[in-house]
Amino acid sequence: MLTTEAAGLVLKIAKGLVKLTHRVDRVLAEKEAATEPMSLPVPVLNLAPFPEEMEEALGALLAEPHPAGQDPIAEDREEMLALLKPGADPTSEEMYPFVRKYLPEMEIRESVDLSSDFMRTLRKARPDWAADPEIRVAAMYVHAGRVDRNQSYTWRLALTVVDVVAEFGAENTALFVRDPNLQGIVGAVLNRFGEADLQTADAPDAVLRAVLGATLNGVIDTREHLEFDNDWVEALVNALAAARTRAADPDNFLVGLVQGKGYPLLVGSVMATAGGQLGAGDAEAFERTAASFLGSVAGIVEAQPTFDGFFKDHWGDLLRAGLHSVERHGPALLADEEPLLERIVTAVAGALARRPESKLLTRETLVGIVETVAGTVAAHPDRIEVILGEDWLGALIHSVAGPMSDEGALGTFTRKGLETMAVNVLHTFGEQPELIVRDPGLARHLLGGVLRSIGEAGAFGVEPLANAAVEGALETVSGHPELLRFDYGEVVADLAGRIAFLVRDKKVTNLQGQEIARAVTASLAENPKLLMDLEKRLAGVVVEAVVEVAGEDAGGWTADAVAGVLRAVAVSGRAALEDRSVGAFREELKALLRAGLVRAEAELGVCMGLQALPDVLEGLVKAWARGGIERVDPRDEAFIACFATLAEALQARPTE
Amino acid sequence: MWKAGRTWGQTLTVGILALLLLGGCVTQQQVKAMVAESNAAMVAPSPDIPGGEQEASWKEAVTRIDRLIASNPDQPVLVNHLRVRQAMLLTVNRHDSLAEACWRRIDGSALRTERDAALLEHHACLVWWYKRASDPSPLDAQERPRAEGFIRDLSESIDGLESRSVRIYLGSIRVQMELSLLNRARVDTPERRRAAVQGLADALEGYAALFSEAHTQWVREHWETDLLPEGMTVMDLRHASWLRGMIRRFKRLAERRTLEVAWRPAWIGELPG
Repeated sequence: MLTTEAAGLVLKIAKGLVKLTHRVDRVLAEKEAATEPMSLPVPVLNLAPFPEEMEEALGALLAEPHPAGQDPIAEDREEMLALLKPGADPTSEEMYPFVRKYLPEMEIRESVDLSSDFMRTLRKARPDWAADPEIRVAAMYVHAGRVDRNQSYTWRLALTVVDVVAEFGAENTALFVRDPNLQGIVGAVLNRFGEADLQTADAPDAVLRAVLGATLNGVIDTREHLEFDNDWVEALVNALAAARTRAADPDNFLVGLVQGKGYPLLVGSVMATAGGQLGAGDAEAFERTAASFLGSVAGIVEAQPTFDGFFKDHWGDLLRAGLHSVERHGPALLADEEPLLERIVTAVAGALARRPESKLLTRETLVGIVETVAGTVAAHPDRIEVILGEDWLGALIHSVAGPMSDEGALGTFTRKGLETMAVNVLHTFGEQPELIVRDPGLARHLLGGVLRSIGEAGAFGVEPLANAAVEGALETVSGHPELLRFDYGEVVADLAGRIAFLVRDKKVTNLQGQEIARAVTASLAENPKLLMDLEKRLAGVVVEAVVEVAGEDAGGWTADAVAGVLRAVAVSGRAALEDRSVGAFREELKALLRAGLVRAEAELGVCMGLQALPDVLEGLVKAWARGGIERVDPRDEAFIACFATLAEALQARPTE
Repeated sequence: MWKAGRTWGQTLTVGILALLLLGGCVTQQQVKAMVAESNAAMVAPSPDIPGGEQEASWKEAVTRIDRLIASNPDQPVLVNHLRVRQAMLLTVNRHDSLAEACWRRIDGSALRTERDAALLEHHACLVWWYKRASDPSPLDAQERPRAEGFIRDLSESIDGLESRSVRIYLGSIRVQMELSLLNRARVDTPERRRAAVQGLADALEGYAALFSEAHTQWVREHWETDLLPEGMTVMDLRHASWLRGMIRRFKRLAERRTLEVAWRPAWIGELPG
């Protein structure tokens, strides 16, 4: 005896099957229309006689005798004669109308009918087939060819079954799950599955998105039944629920987010960070931030449709960066009553939306930007309005995104190399936010300027050189923030360019170039006023003088010599420049260094070692700059004595 | 009231069968019939298919496709693929205005196969050429650049197609246009002769490259005979016969115009004139 309950179930199953049949019918009908062969005959091509044939035939026609007053081509004779006169070079289309009119037997010289050719062949090869209309139609088949991989009909049929089963499950959850709490959740998720209409999804990844969206929406719908073990997960779910409530299209809001590649990353980050680093209070703050961020950025995306794709790919990165910032600057960012973090992340998203080059930013650079801004706000809360202002943020984003989108830079450097440099710059600024507060354009000068200058040299394999210059400069400026009063970035860029030219011209190796770049960027702190005088470009002059003099002998000591000579010029150069032009200074400096090298060659192994050479040259330059050397001549006794004294003194100095 | 003795299994089986019978795949059957009808109608204009006019009227097929589309408006993929068939029926039958209008209504993003996507992409060429090819008058100054543009477009997309039958179909349209252009060119100066020789060799080489080894083998072995070797399908025979037909036309044209062409690949040159 069948119970009423069982009868009801049978009806439900039957209803599900009707639905399934209907949907399978749709899929199969589509498959039939899309993938069945199409019989396509090729058109018949009729060809006119070729021009020489027409010319000859019309010529013969003109020459044909005819009784007086009975010229059959009288009305066109004049025109035809003009057309065919010697040297006239008539075209096919000029002659053809006369051929058609007077020589109709020549109208079609050749017919190319591939379909008829084939039918004749088939009749001879297989007369029985040729007589069969179905085979004749099939013989003209053009196959559908590749079916869009994402639209495999087997896949579609499988999804159709899943769809219907999900709908059935949603309506009959109690059949599968006994726990009332779980029934609610499973029912909600299956309902969402049914609504997702999986069989209309274009591709496996679209199905995955729909499944994720359905699951998330279902979970959020029933979150009161969920027992979270982890505050952060709860915070995220609540944040998403809050954001969904505010969205214009709540049902598709999560699917839209899930379409972005950032989602797994964000969840991964949340899970990793939630491992105990932050307390429940922080989780609440994050919840607020995430919800508010997702809600407010929706407006930015709407206002900047071109930003849509970028945001979908990177919203997870932006939020993750915010999360990292909470970890790093938590108290400062969260203590304030204002939801600072949310303001920062939204401001960055807004600034990115207005900058086309921001499309080129990678996950790491985005994280770096948010961290830098968050760190800067945390260190300078009084300047928050300025920092979050478009100009300041724009300058920062342009500093890293600009060089990365520069085609010149891309031609010289690899994408990875550019990213590494940008991330390093951002990392330093994140660590030392006051640097960027004092000079928001510094990043641009350092990164963009150095890349541009080095790129202009067109030297091969200059990435390490650019890295060394940027790293050295950042290290120096971190230790000597007073350099920011000068055009440090510009000077570094200029020097990096000069060094790149030296590398290109093979005056120094790439490795030496890197060492020189590090030495020079550090030495600039010794006497910035003198060395960084933009007009004199003294630092550059010194680098070129040392490298030129070192010439082919340039060895491991060159970078140290550059640093030593720069120190000497920094300390005593003012006196030497008082009565000399920069040009004269350079020439005399080179003469002095040459003389010093001649003496060094004589003294090496006698009273000095090679490692002392840079220091000896530094001492020599100091002595000369202060007027202690009257005659620069390696054979001059006073010069020899001066050099020997310096060498001995330095050699006797205890090694560190 | 359920009768005693009837088991669960019986009930379910009867229910399922009844519903499957009731539900049935009606649309699929309609589309299947429509595809067969349109295929028959497509080849009907050929004088080599006797009784074609009686067996299938292309106008009727066009109308029936419209009806099928009207009854499934919520299925964009189905609708747009049916529209491609409809547009090709109009194109092949040289109703260029109607064909153009039909092509314009197709949403390319709803097409799922490379054949239909390629037909849509080249529809302007197809509409023009199906109408123009049979007119023997030489291509004039306005038509030549048009044909050259279509040849370029076809060449660009043919290389990217996987289906040999689509490649050969579009390649056949291309080589017809090339032959038409070469036929009208003068060869009365050394420069013009060189250009014509080069053009003939290039065009035929490009066409021959679309065919399989089996097709070219058949052409070489059956230059004068019409046998269907064991294992060769009727479609392969069609392709091979097209290649042979086109080689014959090219060689004949070169011979009539006394042009010494170094045919590529070399086996084409070894075939009798």
